[in-house]
Amino acid sequence: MKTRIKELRFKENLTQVELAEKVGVRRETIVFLEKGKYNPSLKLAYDISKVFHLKIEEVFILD
Amino acid sequence: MLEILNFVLEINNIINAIKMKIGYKTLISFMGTILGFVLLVLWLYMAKKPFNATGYLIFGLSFIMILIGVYFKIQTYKNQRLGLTSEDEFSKRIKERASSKAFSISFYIWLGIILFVKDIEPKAKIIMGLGLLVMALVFLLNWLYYSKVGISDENED
Repeated sequence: MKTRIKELRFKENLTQVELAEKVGVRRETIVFLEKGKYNPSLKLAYDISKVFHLKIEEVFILD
Repeated sequence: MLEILNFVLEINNIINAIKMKIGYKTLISFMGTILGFVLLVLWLYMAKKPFNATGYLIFGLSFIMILIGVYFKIQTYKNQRLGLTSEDEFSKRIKERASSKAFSISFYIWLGIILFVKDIEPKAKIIMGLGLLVMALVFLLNWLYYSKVGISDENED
């Protein structure tokens, strides 16, 4: 699964720590999500999409 | 007497300051790691010297474990200092994966110990074998339980 988290984070001028704080996870989780090395739970995917005011499928793209 | 009281109060103040900064749970686990290190040093000091190979092995393994423990505590401290949670769904999933791997690998380790260590009493071998069987039974029972009941929300404790 690919994610647009990094791109959207830069667009919104957010650091990894700020995004982690907004969705209630550790910074490492954001790092692994951006690298595409972790598939988040539906809740986390929803929370992250909410931060960027987008739908889940617009942030997380299945290969 | 007054000096001792002052010393105790000073320590209490330091602990309170740390508690406010990093949280009670982290403080306790950090103390546990420090205690482990102190016990290791104490053991090293009191143990019969020179060490044999087993002594060095035990010391080395304990030292590696404490180092890994310190690494995780530092990670937790860093996250808490940034105002982030120290445990989330990813860390829980990693812990679960690590435990299940450790559990299955431990079967082979125990088998190796039983087969290759020569001077184990036959009685001890039976006890170890029984332990292995119970471990496998616990694993299978858990598997059965979760396959029937399912896994609830992983954010719940």
